[in-house]
Amino acid sequence: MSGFLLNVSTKNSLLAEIDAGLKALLAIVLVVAAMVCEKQVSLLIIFIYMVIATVLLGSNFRFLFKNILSYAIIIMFPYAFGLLLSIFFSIIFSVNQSASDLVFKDALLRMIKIFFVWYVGSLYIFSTPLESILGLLKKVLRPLNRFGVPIAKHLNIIKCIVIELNQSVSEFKNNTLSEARGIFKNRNSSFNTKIKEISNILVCFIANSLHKTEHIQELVARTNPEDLIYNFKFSWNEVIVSFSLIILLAVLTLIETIVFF
Amino acid sequence: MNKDRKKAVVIILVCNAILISLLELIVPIPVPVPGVKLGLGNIITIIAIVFLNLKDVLIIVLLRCIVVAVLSKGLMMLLFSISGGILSAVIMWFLYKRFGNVFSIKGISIIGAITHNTAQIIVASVILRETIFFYYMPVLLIAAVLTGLITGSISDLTIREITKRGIFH
Repeated sequence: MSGFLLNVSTKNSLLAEIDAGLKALLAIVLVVAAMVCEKQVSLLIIFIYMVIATVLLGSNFRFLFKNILSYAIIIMFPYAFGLLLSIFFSIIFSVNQSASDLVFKDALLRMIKIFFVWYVGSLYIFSTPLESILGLLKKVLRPLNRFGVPIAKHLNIIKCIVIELNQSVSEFKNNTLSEARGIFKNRNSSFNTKIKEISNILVCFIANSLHKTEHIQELVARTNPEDLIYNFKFSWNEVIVSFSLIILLAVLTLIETIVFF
Repeated sequence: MNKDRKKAVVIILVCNAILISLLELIVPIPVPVPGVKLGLGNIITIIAIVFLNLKDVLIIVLLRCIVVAVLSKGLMMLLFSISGGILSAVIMWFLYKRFGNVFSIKGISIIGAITHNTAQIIVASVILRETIFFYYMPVLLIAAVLTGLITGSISDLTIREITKRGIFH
């Protein structure tokens, strides 16, 4: 994440230029399509569409693999572990295997669909500048203002946090992180001593950071919630994206309704 | 503490929680298990529980989850981190405020870690409509005890030092 923090404002790509609202609509349609489609060919087409979107993002396939890896660690590994244990127990207690095979196939399909949702969400956030996301959220969540929820102010705090993080991440890496690295490189001290030294570093870090309250108050005052503006734009890029979405939906509808597939 | 200063403190603590989690690259996990993290960002949650009120604690957890999701992990991860983060924060706050004389900071941290992992397993089970995830529960519980102990130890020492220096006064 540290690398990402440093590059958070450098989302310059074809997809980043596309209207944030249209991209959100595209993401929602893709998610719904992935959840509704039942045929494997449809899921393959959605996957190909997402791979093309990744290429247009200007990113390499590292982004896709990173997402697959995190999904595998958080969802697939615990599932595989549980599945192996349940098969092991069913063998020991002589339970019929066919039922668990059926459940496994259903679960695998569901897992692929959830991965699509996961990936589309990541792709959207990765390819959309923060200002555009916050501006869009301010517009979409505006009705909450009537219930006394100051949406613009909350979104402004998120913006301030990201600005502050961008400013302090390199300082943290150069000071606190390198100090902590030095502690864990020392092989002579025990784990308890290392933990104590880490907590000393953290105390200094927290104490020093709390001296910055005036600077943060100034930052909050300087960052105007009214600056979070979203205006719908429709250029050639948006036309191409809308056209590709229509084609995708037509193809998926065709596949889902034709018995041959 | 006035309203503006409190807002600034909340922003600083959210930033600290995100930055401190970068230390996880250095501090080794005693038993490396897939899906298990030290959760060093929780140190800030525990500090907030001790020095701030529940509303501020929940705001810190919520903002941390949203910002981390925006910066790295994506929308889907938000569901896991918010459910685990909010539930563990509420339980840790309740235990600290009601049974602070029974549970130490380390104990509260361990229970928080267990709650966090349990909530994530429940969310995974609900999303995939599979109870099979609960087989992974014992592994996560053992990991939670170890990681909770480490973050609890660091939190305990940090809270003592903060109290001694009177940082929040």
